[in-house]
Amino acid sequence: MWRPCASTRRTAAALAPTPGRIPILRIGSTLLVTIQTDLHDALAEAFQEDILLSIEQQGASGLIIDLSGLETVDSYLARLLTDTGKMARLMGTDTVIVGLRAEVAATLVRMGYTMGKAVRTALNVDEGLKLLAGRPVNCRPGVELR
Amino acid sequence: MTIQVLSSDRMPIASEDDIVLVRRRARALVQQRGFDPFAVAVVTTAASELARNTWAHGKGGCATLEVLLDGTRAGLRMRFDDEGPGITDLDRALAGGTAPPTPSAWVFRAAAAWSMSSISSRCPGMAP
Repeated sequence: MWRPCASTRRTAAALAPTPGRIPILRIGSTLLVTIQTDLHDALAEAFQEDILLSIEQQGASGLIIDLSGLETVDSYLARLLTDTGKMARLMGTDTVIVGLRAEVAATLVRMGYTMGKAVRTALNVDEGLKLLAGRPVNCRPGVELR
Repeated sequence: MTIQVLSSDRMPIASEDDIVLVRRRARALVQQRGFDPFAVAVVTTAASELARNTWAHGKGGCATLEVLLDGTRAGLRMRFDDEGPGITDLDRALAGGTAPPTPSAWVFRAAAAWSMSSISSRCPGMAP
């Protein structure tokens, strides 16, 4: 039978120490963001705003979002990332999402998620940089094409 | 064979942060039971979707995560109770129709299917 939970109201204090913001690095004209923590929704939204403000203030030809540290990407975060790519596109910045784990990719597709045309993907940061530079992308990581 | 309930966790979903806590707990429970990484990702994602729906559309509520044992097969049963308005046309929503509230309907259906498949076919035996 449904009964309300004993409402031990918890806040951010109950979570592992929440880093304030996600650092945005710059490599030449490309912004690099590595998400290494399990994002809660408010942090994800702040992250989106930070990226757009960085683009507006500093300009960027490319944006790489590295998700290799994430074990779960649910529909909310997937949509937020795709939207971020669309927003960046409107500001003239190409977005590449990199580092998606096999199980995360499988789960997203099973869930019916489709990534729009605004966002491209690459295996890792290195490949993402190549993609943005218009250079050939390797078939396998660490193996140079001849 | 009766299904044993090995453990039962009740967790409140009273803030956005609880979504993260519920999915972490779901992840930890199935990892302990030796689910493969793909099954872990599916269960964790389903927990996240359902917890968010409970918070965003159901005005908060409660998650119950139960570790099950059916012979040598382990499973996780996730139950989400909320205090929201409910779905006006449940059959249509479950069929993937457009009955409001649409955003949660397909997610709920997918998550339910995943959880079931995890229990029925994707679970290895208990972790040693």
